[in-house]
Amino acid sequence: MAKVRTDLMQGTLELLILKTLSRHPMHGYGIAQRIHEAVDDLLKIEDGSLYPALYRMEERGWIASEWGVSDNNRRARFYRLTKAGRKQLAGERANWERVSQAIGRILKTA
Amino acid sequence: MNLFIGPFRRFDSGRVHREIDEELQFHLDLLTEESYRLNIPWDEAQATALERFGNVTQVRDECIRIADRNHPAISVLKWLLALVFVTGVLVRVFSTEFHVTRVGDILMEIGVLGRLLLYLRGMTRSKYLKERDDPAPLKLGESHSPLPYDEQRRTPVERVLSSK
Repeated sequence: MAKVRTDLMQGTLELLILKTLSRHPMHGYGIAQRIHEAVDDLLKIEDGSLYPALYRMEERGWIASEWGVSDNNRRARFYRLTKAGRKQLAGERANWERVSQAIGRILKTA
Repeated sequence: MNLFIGPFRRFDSGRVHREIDEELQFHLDLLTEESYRLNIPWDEAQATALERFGNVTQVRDECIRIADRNHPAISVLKWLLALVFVTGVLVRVFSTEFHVTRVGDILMEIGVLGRLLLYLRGMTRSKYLKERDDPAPLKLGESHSPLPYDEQRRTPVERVLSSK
C-alpha cells in the first residue's frame, strides 16, 4: 500500500495562516489550534514550523504583530492581517483554486 | 511614551531574541498544559509537546535569523552602503581628474564589499547560532511549574467561573 503523504506543499502553510487570521487576531498557539482543528489528520503540520512562516510573513508586510495578554493571563504576541495580507490572501486563494481545478481535471481525464 | 521609545527598542537585538524565546516558550507551555489536562503525567506531557512542536532549536534559530535580517541597524547600514556606492559611481562618471576618479573607485569598492560582507554574515549567522547555543535553549517545564490545578484538573480561573 502506498504511503499516504501528509506533508505540506510550498506556500500552503502561508495560505492557511492568512485564512486563519482573516477572522481576528490570534497568537501562534491559537493559529496552530485552529489549523489542526480544520485539517484534522489530513495534513501533518508541526507547530514550530508556524513561527518562521509568521516571521517571514511579517517581513513581507502581510501580517503585523503586537504583544498582548492571552486568555490565561500571560503575555503573548498577537498577529493580525494587514491590508496587504488581505490582498495576498485573495490572490493566493484564487491561485490555489485555479491550480487545484487544473490538477483535478487532469486527474479525471488522464 | 511608547511612541518615542518604541522605535529605539527595535535596535535592542537582545530584547528581540528574548521575545522570540518567550513566544516559543508560551506555545510549548500551552501544548504541555493541554496534554496535562488529559490526565497525562507532566513529564510525558512535556515530551508530547516537544514532539508536536518539532525541532525547537531549529525553529528558534530560523526566527532569530529572520529577525536579525530585519534589524533596523542592518537596514540603515544597507542604505548607507548603497549611498556610498552611488556616490562612487557619480564621482567616477563626472570627474576627469585621476586622483578624484580613484576616490570614486574606492567608494564603489566599499559599497560592494560591504554588501558582500553583510550577505556572508547572514549566511554564517545560522551556523554560529547553532554552535553557540545549548541544545535545549528553552527550559521547558523548569521555569514554569504546572498551573495549580485542583483534583478535577481545573485551572484557578475555571474554578472561579464554575463556582458562580
